[in-house]
Amino acid sequence: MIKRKRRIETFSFFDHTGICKHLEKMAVKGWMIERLTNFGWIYRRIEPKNIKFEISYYPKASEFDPEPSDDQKTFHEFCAHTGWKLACTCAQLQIFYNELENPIPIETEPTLEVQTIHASAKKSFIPAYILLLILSVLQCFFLVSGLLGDPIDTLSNTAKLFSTVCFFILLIICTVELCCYFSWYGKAKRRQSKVSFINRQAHLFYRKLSLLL
Amino acid sequence: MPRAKFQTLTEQMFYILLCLKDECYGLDILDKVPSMTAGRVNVGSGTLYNLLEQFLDAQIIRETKVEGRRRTYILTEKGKDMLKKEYERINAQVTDYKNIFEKEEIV
Repeated sequence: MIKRKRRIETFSFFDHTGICKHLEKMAVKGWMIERLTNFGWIYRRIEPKNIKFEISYYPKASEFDPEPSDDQKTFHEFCAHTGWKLACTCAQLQIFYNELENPIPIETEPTLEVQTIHASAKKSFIPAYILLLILSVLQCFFLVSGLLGDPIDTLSNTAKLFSTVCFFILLIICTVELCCYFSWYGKAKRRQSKVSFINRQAHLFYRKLSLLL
Repeated sequence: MPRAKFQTLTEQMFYILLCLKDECYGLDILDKVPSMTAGRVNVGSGTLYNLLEQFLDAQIIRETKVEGRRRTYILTEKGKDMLKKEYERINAQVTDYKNIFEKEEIV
């Protein structure tokens, strides 16, 4: 019997509601999240059961931290006090699970939760995606200027064409991710309440398409 | 309209500060609030952690003891003033309510 499995998931880093629902479904099927890596998510086999998952963002954490800081461990202790056990972390994202039937949520002040998510986004997600966006725009700009200056040379260079296609896909991914994030953030801030991250169906389709490309 | 920071307190903020009238461990607030309100108000662990940090930054509370990772906190004068203002605000709301509905009952 397979004890561990790796799956490529199409979730945005900040799709906390979608990730939780997915992990709850996986637990019912007997798979518990163990680790989030750049090459897929790793699950371990467990007894199938209903478990509640919650995602909390810890803005001070970084993916370069060798281990959680003392402050972060204090945060984990607070969560453990209400039955939330840490499943795994990935930079600022922390996945907790709770086996109680009606646990007290980790975040009970939606306004504060939105602030925390945005603080985490400002630290890693937004600057990284903006940088990638600038790089892809530059690459596309170089291709267009090449086409205008010397079209034969540009179109005969397969390496240049291939890299431009890759950067063009990256441009679309970054634009959609940033737009989705800011649209969610604006909506959550206006409503002063916890709202689902994004339109799941449309976003899932886009994520699968970009993965395929 | 977004709420200006700490201009008015949410129910959870109010009860957290109330718990800190006397020196208290951060973690103990998670149990104190539900017992104080007969289970009506619960504070999430992440919410409590973040609020304690924000209260510390705003000097509404201060740390009194640090034992490893366990920290105790207490209200500062600024925190007491803030709690008193909130109490007066809630009282004013109660008075307004009574003015409207008690008049109706008399009529």
